[in-house]
Amino acid sequence: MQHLDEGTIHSWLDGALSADEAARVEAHVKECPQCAAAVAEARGFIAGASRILTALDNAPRGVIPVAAPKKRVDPIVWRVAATLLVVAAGTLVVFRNAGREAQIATTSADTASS
Amino acid sequence: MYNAALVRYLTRRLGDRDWAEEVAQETFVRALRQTSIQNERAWLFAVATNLVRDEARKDMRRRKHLALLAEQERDEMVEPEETTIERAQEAAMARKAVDALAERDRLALLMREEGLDYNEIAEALELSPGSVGTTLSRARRRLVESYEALQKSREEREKNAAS
Repeated sequence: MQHLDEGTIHSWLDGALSADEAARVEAHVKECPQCAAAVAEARGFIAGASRILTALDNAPRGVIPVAAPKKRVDPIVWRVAATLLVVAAGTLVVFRNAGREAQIATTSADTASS
Repeated sequence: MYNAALVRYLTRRLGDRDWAEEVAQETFVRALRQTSIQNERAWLFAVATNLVRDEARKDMRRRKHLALLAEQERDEMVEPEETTIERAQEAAMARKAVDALAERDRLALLMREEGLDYNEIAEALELSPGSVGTTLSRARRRLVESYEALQKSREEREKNAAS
């Protein structure tokens, strides 16, 4: 049997080979120091890769906002604007009424004097 | 049932847990709409992977945003404990090493870590089952080698800084 390629070694270590294939690989590894060394190296890569991937889980959470905050007008701005509007409207009504009363007063005074 | 595994897979792929949870949720919503799924796990991982791929363009924007935020945060950060720095550095190097992998290698490896077997990985990534071993062996070797290279250059930097 020729030497094992890396993919086969990983498949074997991951338990992905059929029983027949696995038996053949096992028999070869027992007799071939070169492939036994390759298996040891592969075990190291499997463990190492797993450890590195676990380190990813230490990444801080919530670094990226789920959605960009929308630019919104502060509610206080709306409240101030509304208050100003009400005050302005009220003032207008009062002034107009005052004006009309003054006019009425003048008109009745004219009528009375004639 | 596969929620925890899927969220971890996506978190490792995306580097952000909240985002990973969003994608996982969307994946399950799509699964509910399906009448029949042959292999649930392979299907879920495949759909989640496609959703991630669809978001590839957004990813670019988010990365820029992330870099900016990280910079701001670094400025504001109070000196954390030694162990936290160590862990954060390890996480950053792991991220860099994982990002350096080819997408297919990265995904196959992340799926394997969540316990998917070779047939499920092949199905989710549309690979031939025979090539999964080769893909994984390449992914693992490259990941470990680039991580070790990063570690080495960090040690040298620290040595230079100390001297």
